[in-house]
Amino acid sequence: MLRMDDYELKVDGHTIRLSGAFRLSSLIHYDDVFAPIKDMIESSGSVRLVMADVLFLNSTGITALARLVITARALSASFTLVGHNGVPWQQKVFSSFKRLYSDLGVEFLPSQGS
Amino acid sequence: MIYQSMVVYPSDAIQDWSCCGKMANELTRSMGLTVGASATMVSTVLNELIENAMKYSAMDSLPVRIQWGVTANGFEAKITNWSTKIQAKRTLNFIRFVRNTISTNGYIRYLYKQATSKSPHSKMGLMGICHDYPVTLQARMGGIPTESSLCQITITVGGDRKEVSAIC
Repeated sequence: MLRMDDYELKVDGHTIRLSGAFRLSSLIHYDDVFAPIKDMIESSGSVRLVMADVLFLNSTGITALARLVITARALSASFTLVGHNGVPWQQKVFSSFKRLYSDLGVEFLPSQGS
Repeated sequence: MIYQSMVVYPSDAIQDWSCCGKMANELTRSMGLTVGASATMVSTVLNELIENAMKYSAMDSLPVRIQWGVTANGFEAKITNWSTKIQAKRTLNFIRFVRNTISTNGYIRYLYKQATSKSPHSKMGLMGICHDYPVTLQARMGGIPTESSLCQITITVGGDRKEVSAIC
């Protein structure tokens, strides 16, 4: 588990859960933080990345996440992004990523009461 | 429109980059948005512009001025930083390009290009704001002493409350 003041990353089998606010300053920092995700894509070829509790991801983070999607595409890996209906950036960004990799899995957890 | 304003320095952000996000959250709260998708959206947009000003300031010791306010219809924020004239013109041209040519295909091509680039900067902030959110973005240069290579650049972002709510 990686835990910083603003965010957390937990690995559980082929599932990696991110939570918090990811607003790092450069792609180099994201490469460090996302290294376990990239390693799992490359080693196991199957990753379920749960981001439902990520409220904020800055544009640098979106680019870093796009790099993972492109890596998964290059390896024809099974890569699924799990978001939350109530987080507006996830709907838009995941839909863009689907255009980068058509086999990308995209799921959304419903808001409470919906 | 009555603006509130504050001045910050890129040197503060270099020491603790998370201060950009904290400022964006505070500004959003001061506009009366505390929780929910609208607050997340406004904070995300403000964070991108604050990060942009910090990254592209000509010197870490030069001030970044942030002004923000609410209207009956929505919100507006202006972020002003000192930049080289070359960088300021690049930003102006880029915003014009993004506003005029933004399309989903163009956005995806640009995202792919940036994601496969070796640059440590993603250069996706302004593009993402224009593509993903119902806000207007304008830029202007000002305060240009002719003998200086520096100028001020102000980026203004505005959002309509109804449009923001509609996508959230």
